[in-house]
Amino acid sequence: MDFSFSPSHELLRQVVRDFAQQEILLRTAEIEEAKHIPRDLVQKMAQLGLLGVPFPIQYGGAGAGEIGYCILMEELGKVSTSVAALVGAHIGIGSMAIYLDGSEEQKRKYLTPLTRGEKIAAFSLTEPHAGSDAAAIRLSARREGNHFVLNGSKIWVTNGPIADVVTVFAATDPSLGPRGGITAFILEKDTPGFSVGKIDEKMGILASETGELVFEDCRVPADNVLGQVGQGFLTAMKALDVGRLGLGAASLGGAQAALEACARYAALREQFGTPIAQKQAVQFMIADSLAEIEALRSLIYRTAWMVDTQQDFTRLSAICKLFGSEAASRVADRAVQIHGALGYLRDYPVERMYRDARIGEIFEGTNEIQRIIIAADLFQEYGVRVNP
Amino acid sequence: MRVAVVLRSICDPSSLRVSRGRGVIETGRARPILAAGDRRALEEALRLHNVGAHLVGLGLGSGAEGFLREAAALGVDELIHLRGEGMPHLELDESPWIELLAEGFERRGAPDLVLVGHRLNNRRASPLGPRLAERLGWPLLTRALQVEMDSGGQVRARCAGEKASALWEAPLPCVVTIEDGPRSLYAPLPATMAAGPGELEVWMNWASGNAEKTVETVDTNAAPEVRGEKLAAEPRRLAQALAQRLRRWGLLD
Ligand SMILES: Cc1cc2nc3c(=O)[nH]c(=O)nc-3n(C[C@H](O)[C@H](O)[C@H](O)COP(=O)(O)OP(=O)(O)OC[C@H]3O[C@@H](n4cnc5c(N)ncnc54)[C@H](O)[C@@H]3O)c2cc1C
Repeated sequence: MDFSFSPSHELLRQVVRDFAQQEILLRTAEIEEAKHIPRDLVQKMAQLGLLGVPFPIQYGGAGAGEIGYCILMEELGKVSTSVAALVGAHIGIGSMAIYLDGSEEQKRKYLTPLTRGEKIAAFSLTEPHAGSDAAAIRLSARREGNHFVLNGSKIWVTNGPIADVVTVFAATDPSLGPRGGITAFILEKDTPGFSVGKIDEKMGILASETGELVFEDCRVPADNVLGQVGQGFLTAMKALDVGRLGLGAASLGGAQAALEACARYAALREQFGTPIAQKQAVQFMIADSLAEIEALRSLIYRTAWMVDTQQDFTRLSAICKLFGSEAASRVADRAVQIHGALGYLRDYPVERMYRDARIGEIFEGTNEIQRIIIAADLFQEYGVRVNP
Repeated sequence: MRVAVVLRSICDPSSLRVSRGRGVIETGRARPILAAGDRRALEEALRLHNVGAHLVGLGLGSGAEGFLREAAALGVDELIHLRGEGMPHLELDESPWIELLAEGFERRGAPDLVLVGHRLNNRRASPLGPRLAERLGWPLLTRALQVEMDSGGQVRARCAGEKASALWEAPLPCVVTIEDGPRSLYAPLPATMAAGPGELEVWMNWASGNAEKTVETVDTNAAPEVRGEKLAAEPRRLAQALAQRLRRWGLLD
């Protein structure tokens, strides 16, 4: 057993960390205030090759695999959950769906500019009445000659307002449900009949842009069907399996940053004549946080290794997302507590970390849904079929 | 035109721990970082590379291997690692390192131009540039903001002064120290993941004797050095890596 990273992955981490600390962390206040990620920063990320880290070089990626992707998300999670959300939606699910199920031509046409960061991707499954029950989507896609005509709406689309390419899931045959009735499409933003609205006033990840998509007789070429007609639900689930691991890695970074902030503060803040780091109650909070972070780190990179070595990882990626997001929330909660009143001050780093951590328990499938996925996977071994 | 850029590995001050009990600064868990001035020097060197210079990265210190790998990802052509086993930390004393550099140039051939950061860290100017120039008997330009070469064998640099910058010229070979500045360059991630820098020349401590044995070539793609290390490579590289480790542990002459 060898737990070391390859020298290339070590260097990748060092470069991404330097970039994140110099180009993102120093601009956190500006980014949060603007409520969007500045375009020049997105451009710098693209120039660095950051927007295609896991994908093969032949498609313009860095060829760093899932381990590289988790390193990237961990380092971004340390400095900005909003930036991590942009990258997670772009790489982890939006582009990933094309990589997993796209034809060679679709990969050349869409994946390559996405990995180079010339275009930004989004992934759109959720609808107003179909969140956890994603199989109940109603966005309809009717075949007309060489096109599909889409009608309906989507909601809660990370990167929706900035995306050039959206992976969209629509019902092509509602009578068949998720097994045969849902199809994935690659949609270009300028397609007539497609429009985007922005959802504001979120609790956290303020700079991550979330959108609502409207389709009115939107004609998508049949060539843009991703995978097979009727197999879209499978594409969505496969992409989410990978995406959840990245979310867990971003949670790891967020938790690490919160831990470091409160350890630094506890070493300096004095009460009753000693640094509060001398108080056992504070030590216990920090020790609990560190224990959870180390457990999460092992889990994340083991799962990433399983992805890179083509092993079955569905159960583990759900565990990464579940455990990672809840651990990050607990660590951020302790960080606020250790900072006392300062932790309750708006825009103080741990206050933002606390708000930002919460989304991890909701998007890409709520944690209740992750528990169902994990239990269903386990009960399969006992011949029990679990329904959500 | 060969341009050498010095890349010094120093301890990240934020990772140093002070042990009050033992009265020492603990460097055991210190993270290596590239001296900020040297990163700027590397950026200047890469500008010269774009107009045809052959770049040699000179990594100083045990932690420099990672920075050499980064330099390779940025396009540096040739990599030399000055390990200097048993030599003091660069932050404490740069003299033996200057000697090692000068002797290395004598033995392995000197570049036409050496670029090095003006400062080692953000507090004090480093003696390395001036003293290396003195030791080699070369001219010195200090606190350069931008460096250019002309076809007539001259180096021209805009250098920072007290109130304003000024343009200076010197004949080659020459040492130029580079003024600090904001970082603008990162190794492209696809290049960081591409195969390692390949051949890396290592200069050990000449002063320790056995000068003939102090130049060796190692494969930087070999497994990282860890305790209980498993070496896996094709037989020739495996033998090289094994011999190199045995030598380092004093088990092989
Ligand atoms: C900021 C943000 C960004 C997002 N980005 C994207 C995106 O890029 N693309 C995309 O497609 N979607 C995105 N989403 C949507 C997200 O994935 C959904 O919000 C999520 O799947 C939950 O759906 P819902 O909000 O409709 O909640 P509901 O499904 O209505 O759930 C409400 C509650 O009931 C629980 N619940 C539901 N069913 C069960 C069950 N069977 N057993 C136990 N408990 C259950 C849930 O866990 C939850 O606690 C985003 C959401 C947010 C907030």
